[in-house]
Amino acid sequence: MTENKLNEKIGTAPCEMAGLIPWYVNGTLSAAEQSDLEQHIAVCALCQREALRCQSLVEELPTPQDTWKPTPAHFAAILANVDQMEEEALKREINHTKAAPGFLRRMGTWYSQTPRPVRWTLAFETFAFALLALFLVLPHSPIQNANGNYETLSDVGSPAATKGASIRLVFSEDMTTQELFDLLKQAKAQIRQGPSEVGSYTVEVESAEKARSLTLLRANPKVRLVQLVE
Amino acid sequence: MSKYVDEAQGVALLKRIAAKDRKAFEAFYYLYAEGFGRFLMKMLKHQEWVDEAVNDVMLTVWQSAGSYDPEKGRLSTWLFGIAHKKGLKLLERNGRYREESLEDYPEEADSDEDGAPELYNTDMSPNSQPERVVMGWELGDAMSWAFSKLSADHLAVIDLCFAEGYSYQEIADIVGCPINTVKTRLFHARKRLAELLARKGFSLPEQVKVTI
Ligand SMILES: [Zn+2]
Repeated sequence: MTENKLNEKIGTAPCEMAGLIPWYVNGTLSAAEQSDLEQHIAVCALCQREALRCQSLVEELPTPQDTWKPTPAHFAAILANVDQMEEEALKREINHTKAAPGFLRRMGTWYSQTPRPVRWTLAFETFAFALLALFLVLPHSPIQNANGNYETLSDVGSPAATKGASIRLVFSEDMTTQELFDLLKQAKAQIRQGPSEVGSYTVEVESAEKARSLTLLRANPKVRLVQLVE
Repeated sequence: MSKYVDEAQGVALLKRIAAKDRKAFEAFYYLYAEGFGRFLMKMLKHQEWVDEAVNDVMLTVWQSAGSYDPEKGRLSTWLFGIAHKKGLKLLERNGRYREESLEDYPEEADSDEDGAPELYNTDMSPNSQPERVVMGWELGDAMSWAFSKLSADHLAVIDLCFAEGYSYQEIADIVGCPINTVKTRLFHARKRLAELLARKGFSLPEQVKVTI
């Protein structure tokens, strides 16, 4: 509405400053606004009246009869909803991972556009992180899936799965994580599945490296079973 | 809430919540839920609706903690904005939103063009005779009754300004409308309040109580 129309309608010049009075009263105006308004109120009877009305409104605000308080039971209900939400998010993530080639391709593009020194740092960090993840996940905390089988980070269905040779392995109980890690590295083997209910792992080696890998694995005293899976 | 809660503590907790720290989430709940729960209680007026709205706010906090940007405003403003949205959603779902439509206030609908509210076209204390004076009522009773009759939009701006102490910019952020609309809406809310009080034969005093 223009000022003219407004004046026609109400027959009085509106006071430009009056709209700020509520915030003058609640004390949230900037120092400049506050000072301008104080000077204005000193000479504007309408704004003086307006300020008094706002002040008495603050004083007469009704006290709510019903109050709401946080409770442990209410928070527990919220946490249950968080759990449900997280579960659904995880399901979506799993579905998304199945369609991961697109994501990997985007990562590849982003990586190739990264400056070379940063790229090397990233590559090193990614490798270090992957090693750490393998170290942490393998021995202590296999993730159990809905069927009760255990899965590892490099489980079947992983987009990284290749068409190498599969070897089933059973390790002796006293084999340490570091020994397992070193052996798999030497044998150029990647875990694809396991441990199964009987404690076996399925690893994959490149076809060209199959004979060398089998020899290395069979030669290790802490490997109780080496079986080529056809 | 903004007056009582340590903003820095809340921001620190929110960072931990972004990293899915449940202890921080619990601490955040006990630090903030009472404040925005109080605001929602005035808006929704039903305990079970507030339970639900607070739940919805907390789930949003869990999911979006990382999206809060302190550069864009105070944490409490961000939180009240979420609470206001969730509250309106509940009112809409229960068919309680805008019982008093803005069509009753056409001036408010086109207020965005002009910053100056039409402050002087209506006397805040109408001369019309009260429709029904309730015997034994005091101003406080009339105020409680009038507040129960205000629309959610009018109640929100009055509450955010005079009870919660937010600036006009913050209220605009919370209710999601331009500053001029906030100013005009608050004017009309107060006008409506004065009309309701007048119906019961009351008006707000135009002088401030002096306590000795
Ligand atoms: Zn003035």
